[in-house]
Amino acid sequence: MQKKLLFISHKTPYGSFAAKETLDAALASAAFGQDISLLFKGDGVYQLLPQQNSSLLKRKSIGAILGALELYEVNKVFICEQSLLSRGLENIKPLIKVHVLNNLSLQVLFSEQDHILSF
Amino acid sequence: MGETDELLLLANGVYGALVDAKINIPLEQLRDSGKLYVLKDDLLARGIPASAPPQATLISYEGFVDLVVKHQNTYNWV
Amino acid sequence: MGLFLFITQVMIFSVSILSAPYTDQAAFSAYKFVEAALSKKHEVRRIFFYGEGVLNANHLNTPPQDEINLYEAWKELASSHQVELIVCIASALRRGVLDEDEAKRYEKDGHSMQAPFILSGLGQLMDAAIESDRLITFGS
Repeated sequence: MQKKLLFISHKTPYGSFAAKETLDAALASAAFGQDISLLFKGDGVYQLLPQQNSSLLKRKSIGAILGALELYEVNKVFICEQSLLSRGLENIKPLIKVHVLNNLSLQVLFSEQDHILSF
Repeated sequence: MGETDELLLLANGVYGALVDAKINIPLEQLRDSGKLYVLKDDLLARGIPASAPPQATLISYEGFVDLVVKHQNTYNWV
Repeated sequence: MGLFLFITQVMIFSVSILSAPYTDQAAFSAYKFVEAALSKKHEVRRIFFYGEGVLNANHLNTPPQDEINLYEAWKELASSHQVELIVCIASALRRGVLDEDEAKRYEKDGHSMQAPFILSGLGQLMDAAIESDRLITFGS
């Protein structure tokens, strides 16, 4: 059975392991054939900053995991416009292709889901 | 937030129900349309009187369960 | 004379817990929510412990006597209501939550997790999403 699942990632890339574990969960769900959407919101938008160098922290790069999304055919990847604006990030070139959503579009996205998994 | 959405404040979120609290979500419309809920135990535990949050419906955990049943989705707002 | 029978919709819930028991209130709130759902005759099928939430499964947690013992509370739910307590293995290993098998595999001199908590993979979270009417996350 296929359900529409929205994963929302709220955390910075390396402040904790939450960002990595959220992406792992999204990828696993895609591997199980679910209809996955992924949204970066709040501090989660920092994960899309280009030119990260996680080797300085001896950690796996979030960029590498983000690159796997396409391989797993997770194409519905979104970012919250308000979160970008309030952090002064509206002009960054994100690490991967993301669709920017305003609050109204976010409401629509939320209403389409069978489950929302908020990390 | 959408028109049929409702908001529950729980744990430390209950502080947001106080009149002068400055939080990110505009609460006025929710208050006016009766869509603002506060988890009673969490409010009282923190020494905030039940009468303090204006136009908020105080609920128990059973009421919390009813809200989750009522709505297809719950967004745990971090 | 008319008679109306109001049938309460019974639902299947699953819960995902991301917070450790003593980091914030989330794990406790989750427990109270589950307790309330069960008292209203809903089914709570599975609790999936992920991220810092796996620390709820540590049987070495020893809170003082005058505080709630959340570990025992989870165990009681499993035995009285057959609630499944699933712990994500990747999150658990990283945080030192190992059952006897994993402790042997990694040559550790002790283990910190046992039944009714069960180590498993993210597929269990997926199954919970597929099988449940409501999947609710606590913690961050």
